[in-house]
Amino acid sequence: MTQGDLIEHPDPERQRLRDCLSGTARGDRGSFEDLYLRTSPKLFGICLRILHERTEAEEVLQDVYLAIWRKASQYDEQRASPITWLAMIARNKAIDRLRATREDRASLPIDRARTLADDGLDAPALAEAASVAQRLHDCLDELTGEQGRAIRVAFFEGCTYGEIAQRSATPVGTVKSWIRRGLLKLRDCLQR
Amino acid sequence: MNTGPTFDQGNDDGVDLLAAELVLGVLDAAGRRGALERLEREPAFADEVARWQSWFSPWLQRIAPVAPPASVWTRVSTALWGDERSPSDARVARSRSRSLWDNLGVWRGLAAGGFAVAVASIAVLLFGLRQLPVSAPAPHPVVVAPRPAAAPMVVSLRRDDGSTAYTATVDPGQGTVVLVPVQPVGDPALSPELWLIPTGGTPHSLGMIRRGNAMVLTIPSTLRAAARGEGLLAISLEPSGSGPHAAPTGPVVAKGPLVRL
Repeated sequence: MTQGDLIEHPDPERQRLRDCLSGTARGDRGSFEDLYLRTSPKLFGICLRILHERTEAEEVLQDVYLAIWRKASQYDEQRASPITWLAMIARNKAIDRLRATREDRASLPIDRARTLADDGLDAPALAEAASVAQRLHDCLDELTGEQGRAIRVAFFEGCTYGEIAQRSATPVGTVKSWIRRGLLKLRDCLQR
Repeated sequence: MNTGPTFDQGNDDGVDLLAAELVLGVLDAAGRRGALERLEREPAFADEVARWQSWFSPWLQRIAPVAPPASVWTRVSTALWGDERSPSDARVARSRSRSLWDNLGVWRGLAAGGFAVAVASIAVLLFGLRQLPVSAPAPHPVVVAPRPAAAPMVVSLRRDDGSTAYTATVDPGQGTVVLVPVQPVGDPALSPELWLIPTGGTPHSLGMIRRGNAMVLTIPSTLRAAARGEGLLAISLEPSGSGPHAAPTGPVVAKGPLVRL
């Protein structure tokens, strides 16, 4: 298991996803179908969260699975759990789409961004979360309000420094400084 | 506005946080491209990105799953294999189609009606198994005058592990090869090329082939005599964007003998 990685699934499920991925890497269609059935709701949720537009999220999800089919052989279990690797492909594709299609998302009101960014953290599942999740949460708690909020908006919305700056009517240098200092604190905290 | 990586801000000591910024998603289009290029080139940077990804992964777990519409799978499946089965249907159909692919008797039966029926039957085997009982006759029986010298041949191009990568139906009379992908071969960055190798002869290229979809290749008239004889079909992997070649340069990833029906 990767250092610092989260136990997202009970081991049998993780092992299953690993098998699905290695089957997909060998070009086995059944493994790929199995992988799709098991993971597409999760990955669609991620695409939808970043893109909001259903049709667009569906198109991106299609690209995500075509990429998974092509790249399955590159999966390195030393680096990430299967679901983290898959989720990051979905996130990256969704953010790529955002960058390609939205020149200006800064008009979205910050209130909406705050709501959207925060509701994910209010889920009452923490008690069951693995130790790393707990630590990440604890470490985020150590961030001051603006730092933590900016990092959450960036993560959940895929906003650039510039977009967060415009949304919150704050100079971009200030936003950048919040986020970078927050990231440094997070890193120090998590490596402690 | 510069939203790329910065190294000059006193308040964070110029520490390189590009990996974290990439994972967090704060880079603009240009900054992202630069970071993604580094990701490809630098293993140490890739490790750093993986570390940040695992640190942030708990947040991804908080995002509620949403079932995508069935049309997404249809499009994925069509893009990869040219068909539209739902995953559960496909699983059933596949287990039946494997045994059919490997049963030469079925192919002989299909060939009774000649090439047209063989092609129609490939389509049925690949796309219509659910609707078609295994013992049903071919859907469009066509009586064709026998052409013994040019009878179609079926080739199962197998990988080293014995699994079928492509199935080819060679019709020397028509000068065509119908090539149907069954399972992908090798590195997707490379391009497969189909070769005809007459027994005791040298390989002749029949052209570059697609990975995902069935296709029809034309056998050059100079090779049609060779295609009537004994020999092999083989697939090599060649550098993308090149070819057809005079001789294979890459590894042979699948091959199979010409079998007269």
